[in-house]
Amino acid sequence: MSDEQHDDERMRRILGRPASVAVPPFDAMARRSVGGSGRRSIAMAAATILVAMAALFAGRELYIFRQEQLAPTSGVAVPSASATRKVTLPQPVPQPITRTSPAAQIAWIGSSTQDQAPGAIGVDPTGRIIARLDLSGVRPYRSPDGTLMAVVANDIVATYSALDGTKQRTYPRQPTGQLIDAAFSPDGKWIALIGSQAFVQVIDLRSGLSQTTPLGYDPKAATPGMTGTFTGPIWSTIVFSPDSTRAYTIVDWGGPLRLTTFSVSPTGLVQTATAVSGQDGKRFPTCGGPGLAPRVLPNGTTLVAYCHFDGNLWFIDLASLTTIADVQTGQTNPFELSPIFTPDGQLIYLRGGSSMRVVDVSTRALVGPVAIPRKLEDPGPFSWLFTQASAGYIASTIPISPEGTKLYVSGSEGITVLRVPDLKPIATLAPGVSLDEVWISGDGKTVYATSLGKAVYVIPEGGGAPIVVPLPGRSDGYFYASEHG
Amino acid sequence: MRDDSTTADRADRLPWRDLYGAHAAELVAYLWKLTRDREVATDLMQDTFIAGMRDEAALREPAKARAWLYRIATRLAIKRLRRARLIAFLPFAGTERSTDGIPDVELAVREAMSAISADQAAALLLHYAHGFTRAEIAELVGRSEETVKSRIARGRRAFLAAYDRQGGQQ
Repeated sequence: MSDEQHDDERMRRILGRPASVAVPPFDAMARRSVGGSGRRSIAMAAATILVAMAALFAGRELYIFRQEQLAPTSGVAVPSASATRKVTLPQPVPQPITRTSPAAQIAWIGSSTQDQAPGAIGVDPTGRIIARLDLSGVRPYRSPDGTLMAVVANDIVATYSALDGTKQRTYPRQPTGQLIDAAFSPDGKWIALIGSQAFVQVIDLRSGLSQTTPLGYDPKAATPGMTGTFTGPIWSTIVFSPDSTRAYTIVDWGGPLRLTTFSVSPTGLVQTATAVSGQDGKRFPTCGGPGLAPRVLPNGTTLVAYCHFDGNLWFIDLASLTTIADVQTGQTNPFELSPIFTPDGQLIYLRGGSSMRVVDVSTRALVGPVAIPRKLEDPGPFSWLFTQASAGYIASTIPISPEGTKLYVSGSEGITVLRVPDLKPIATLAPGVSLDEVWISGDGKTVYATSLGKAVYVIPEGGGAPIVVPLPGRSDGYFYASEHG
Repeated sequence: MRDDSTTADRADRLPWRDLYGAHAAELVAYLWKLTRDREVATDLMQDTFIAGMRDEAALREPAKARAWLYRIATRLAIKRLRRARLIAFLPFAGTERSTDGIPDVELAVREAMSAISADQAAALLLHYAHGFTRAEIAELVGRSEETVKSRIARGRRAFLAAYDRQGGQQ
């Protein structure tokens, strides 16, 4: 038997194994077909009502806005739609631009071309494809300074230069096993990993020093929506403090939420505190599905986590490990969205389709939703909240400029640049071009955007003709960005 | 916008109940291995039939209903997989077992599937698990037979390498 025949036989054996699922009755499926349309009708009616309510709301806000323009206040506190409540949003504090190295200007774009394994393609600001990384069976992460791409396999972590895709170093995983989550420390010194064997591993990327410690979890997690037995902590999240000396893990979904604090230093990875919801008087929210986006605010004392299942934002005090607030944002379809943390730690923008909400971190006030403006002549929908406009951090869908004053929203008519915090449109890039995902280079001078997974547009941030870079085959059309951009 | 009666009326023109009985289970199994998610697979199977019922005029040869349903299912699944990659879900870390005693999709299979492109995964499953020839797959996915051959060859190589790395059953 030839090698090919042998492989064919193996494939038939492996893929031909039975996989049985209960099939819903035909009538249930047919009802679903009809019900879907019914639900759409209800949704249309609800949308009509919402539009009418929004129009009424907008009219009132416009009135207030105009009143403010006639008689501007000296402060930033202005009346909101509520006659009894004052809402203020802070002006942004522009942050220094630190990711100025050539490597930090290279965009890395996800690619799974028709006949190739998953990978990432590097494109530089001149539109040149500089390298392709093979991402078969691994998960990629980009360092905070943008200079490294780290790929995590079940047995090793490998780093590659983001400048030219050359391999830099490998580090063994201890213990080996499926990766659950990973995070770089903000100073780029450490990478922390949670594996399916319920261990936290922290690797010093310069010395190669590796430290591990067990991670507590509920062995009786209910795993809603799934059947059978599970090993390990299911879905978990890890995040560093801004000064890179502490790491926090959240083990959630299916069991009581467990928040654990670790001290990270060259001499040890030490668990310093842990709190479990329902024990010792602790109460934490829970995310009814997998996926949390956490961030320790710049003050180092507050952990904010966004639940990708219900769109809620949690505020947790890290000194006492207690819940400060659970803000129910009303975010629809939150699975496809990322929270946008301004780098000064003051605001969190939440996009929902064509609308936007904002949460003021200090007061936990939720404002919006408002329609995202697209025309340059549109006023900023939040302009009534401050005397003048001026936002920071991630989000795959709406990235923020490195200094934190502009948001970049893509669409069928190019990229609209919105001013933070009032969302006033201040520029349109690549007008008329239908664009999908956007990434901003580390120095903020180059805007990269994908178009239908077929090309990358490299656009000077200050305006100018874009360079169109066709992608080989078909790209997945998203960027690998660090949590800082 | 289609109304409810459109779907109900069209549902009577083809033996949809029989087609459902004949192909629903195999489509779920196919979609489960392709998407690596049981709930998603069940949803997509139903979406496949709903889409088929709504667009049955597109089926010129009723004898080819099975391939046509696979075509719809593949299109829906690949679209979903590409979209899901944008969300970058955290991984499933457990070993899932069904309740009826039949083993679920092996973890190593799911991991190996995640190491290849959605197009390759679909081609491998259609060929090795569901008995479609390369020519049939080419017609089903709207690509040349050469492309399908290439997808299967490259996908098989990458799949087996990843499967062996995961320590899958031999």
